[in-house]
Amino acid sequence: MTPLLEIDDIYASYGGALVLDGVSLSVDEGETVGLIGRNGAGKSTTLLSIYGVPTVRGEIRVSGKALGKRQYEPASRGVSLVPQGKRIYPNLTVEENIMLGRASGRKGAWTVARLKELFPNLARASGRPGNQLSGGEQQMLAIARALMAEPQVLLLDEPTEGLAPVIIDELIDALRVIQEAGTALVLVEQHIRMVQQLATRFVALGKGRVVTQGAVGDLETRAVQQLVAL
Amino acid sequence: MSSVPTAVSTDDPAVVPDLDDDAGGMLDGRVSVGLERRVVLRGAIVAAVVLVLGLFVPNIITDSYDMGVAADGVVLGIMAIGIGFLAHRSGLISLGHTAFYGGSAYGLAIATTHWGWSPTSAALFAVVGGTLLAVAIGALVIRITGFGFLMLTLAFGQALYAVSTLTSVRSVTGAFDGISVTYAGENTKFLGMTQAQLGAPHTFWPLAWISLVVVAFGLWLVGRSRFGVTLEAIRDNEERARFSGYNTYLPRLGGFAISGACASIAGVLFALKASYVSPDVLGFQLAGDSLIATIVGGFTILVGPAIGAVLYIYAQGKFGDTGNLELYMGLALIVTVIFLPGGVTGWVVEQFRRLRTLVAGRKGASRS
Amino acid sequence: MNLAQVLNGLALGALLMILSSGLALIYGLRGVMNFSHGALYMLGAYLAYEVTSQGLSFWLALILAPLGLAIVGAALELGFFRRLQRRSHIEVGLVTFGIALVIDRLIVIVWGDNTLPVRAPKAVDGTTNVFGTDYPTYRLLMIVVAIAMAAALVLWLRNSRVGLHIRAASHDTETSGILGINVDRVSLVVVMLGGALAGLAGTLAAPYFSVSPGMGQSILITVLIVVVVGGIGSVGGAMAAALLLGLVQIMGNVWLPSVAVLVPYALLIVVLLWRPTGLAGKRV
Repeated sequence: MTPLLEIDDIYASYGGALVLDGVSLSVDEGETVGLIGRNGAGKSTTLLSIYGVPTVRGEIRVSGKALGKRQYEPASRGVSLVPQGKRIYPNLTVEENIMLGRASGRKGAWTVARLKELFPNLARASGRPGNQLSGGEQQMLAIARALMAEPQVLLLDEPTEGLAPVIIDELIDALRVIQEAGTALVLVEQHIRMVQQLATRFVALGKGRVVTQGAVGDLETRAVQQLVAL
Repeated sequence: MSSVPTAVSTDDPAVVPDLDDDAGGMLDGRVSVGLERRVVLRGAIVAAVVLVLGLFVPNIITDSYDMGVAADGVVLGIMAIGIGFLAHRSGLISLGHTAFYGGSAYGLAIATTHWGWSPTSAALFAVVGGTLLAVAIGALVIRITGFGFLMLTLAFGQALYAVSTLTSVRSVTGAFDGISVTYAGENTKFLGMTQAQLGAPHTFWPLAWISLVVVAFGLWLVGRSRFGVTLEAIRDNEERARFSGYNTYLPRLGGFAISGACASIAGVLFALKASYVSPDVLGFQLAGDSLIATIVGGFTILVGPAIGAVLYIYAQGKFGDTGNLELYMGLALIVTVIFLPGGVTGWVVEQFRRLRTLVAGRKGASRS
Repeated sequence: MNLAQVLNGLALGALLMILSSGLALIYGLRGVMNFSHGALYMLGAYLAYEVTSQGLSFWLALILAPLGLAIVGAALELGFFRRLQRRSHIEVGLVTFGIALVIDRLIVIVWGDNTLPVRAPKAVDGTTNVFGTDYPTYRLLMIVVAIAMAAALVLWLRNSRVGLHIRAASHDTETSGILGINVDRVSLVVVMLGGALAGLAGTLAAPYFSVSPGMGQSILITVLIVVVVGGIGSVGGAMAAALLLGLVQIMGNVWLPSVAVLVPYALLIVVLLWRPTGLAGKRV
């Protein structure tokens, strides 16, 4: 079976600095993969490479077909990103932020109403502009916006950054619902707890390379932990 | 993603995207620094040789009109290298240097014609006044970069133009009619030259040429000094420079003042030669054209803008009557910015460099 | 100051409002201060002259000139802005400065140096009684058209899908691309719209100011000031600043005629030094 998303031995750089030194990663339908590693290991860059943000050499395929050079293509092919730092639009309302997900051109089961069910906080924040939301609300808004694009695979870049544990629990519940809906997830996290709770597989990056990978259960072993240096 | 070649090169600018609106592309420069005695001496010798050689130009160019073009070009060139200095070292593009050029031209005209000062004192007054004006305006605008800076310099420059056309101050400025510069009193000579001699291109030339060489040499020294390096550090990353402990405001102000002083010197020379100043010396067309001349000449090389200025004066003579001058200026600007970021001189230098690598490569190959 | 002068201020502000909206839109999305905007305005006025001098109605010019300028806008986007995306904003600004010089001269080559008259259509050629003052009907038309355009533009930006994409991409181009917005296509719409608005302003200005070669340059500085004072990239701010400047300019002409011409500069300098991002900040 063709993997949903294949990142095939890519080299990525910003300006003159090489950040990814040959990274490969694949995601199958419906599975949740954790991408872990220290700060600066290249986790965010791996996700952003799909969208051509750094300069990339190498191929990235969605359902077996290679992605072209246009930044808006991955979203239209079902790969949606929840960026690090949320990046919601402060000048747009909650609803407008969510509706932007439709820019992918994909339509399906997710609607504004269903997303507000998934994230009650957003229902309560109805009509408010993005810059009046709390950190947790912004994070949920970013996920809702990405879901509106009806993704086959949802990429989340450090979604728990700066959030209170209570909010993180809400987040995990929501992500479980999304998993049950059949969406594949790539979860980038510095801390492994969320990966252990949600993912079946993990890939560990170090200094722009894949250091090790395996089943999430292996994260318990000291050998792996030392390798990943977390 | 299909294969995209990585641009892995140590010459690339900062990895962090350029948040300021200044610099980038044509404004990156790599310069050598240091003011060791040997280097300064060598530079002084080069300057001296160039100075002396240039003094023979009137012997080569016999036609009065052509000599006038050269002289006018050199005078405008002094302002242009000032603009270029600011653009290169500080990454700031200015549309307001006419304020200092025209301001000091008017200063000379007013001091001699209305106050009866001698040309020499009036010239000194005008240059100092123009520089002080640069300090005053710079103090306000230097905190802002990019478009804001461009707009502010434009605003100040054009505000001064508007003032020069006001009928309410006609008694001082002559409004649209301008001022016909007259020297009265006993001392009517500027450095030994009469007004007639100043007006004749062949006799005016030495004054203009020496001024250009001295100003260029001065800017060269400043560029190589620690001050120059500081300016560049601020240009590249103002925040980082500030966090490293540099006071970013004063050096930038200094750079602006120096470039303004160049424009002031040029303005005084203009007034001395033309013996007539009008609002045109402050106008939008000159502001735009002098900037274009700077860019087309290329400001990564110190003297590039001066060459651009000479080309401009030449073009002005050739196309001025047809009215198509501005068309060509526009085209030249577009072509230069898009295809020749280093300007004409930058392109020439690049060709020499390519030739040198080619030759060195051949030598290496034949040796092995 | 009497009513007629206030209305004159509004009429000037109306023109500036139409012009500056287009400029603000382009700046908000592409980050380029389009120095050729004045030339586009002038081109619109000359196109209006061309249409009316062929015997066609002014109302037709009001449609054709903006259409023509929309095409010019498309040429600007496809030929320059898109290709120069990676260059610094200043460099692209300089290119537009060069384009302005070229357009300015081409207009004179085609239409000559003289001031050309464009007559207002008969229907609005007279005066209307406004609260006791007889005021030229045509200028009232200008004000009405500008307000209608402003309302339509703001409503469109706030309620349409493309408007949403424009507001999103103007704030954060990269995230918008990641979400699936074709930023290049949105840019094309914006620049064409900006061109059309410049053409509309030029057409409206033609009977009021007459059509002459200097009109592009003379309005450019004013409209740049309006956009900067209104807040970089903010269409609403530009509109407000345009009306403000129109009124302030007329007030200046009435009360301080000797220095009235300095008013826009003073405003720009004060605003830029006090609040470097302008009055409204970045919002659409």
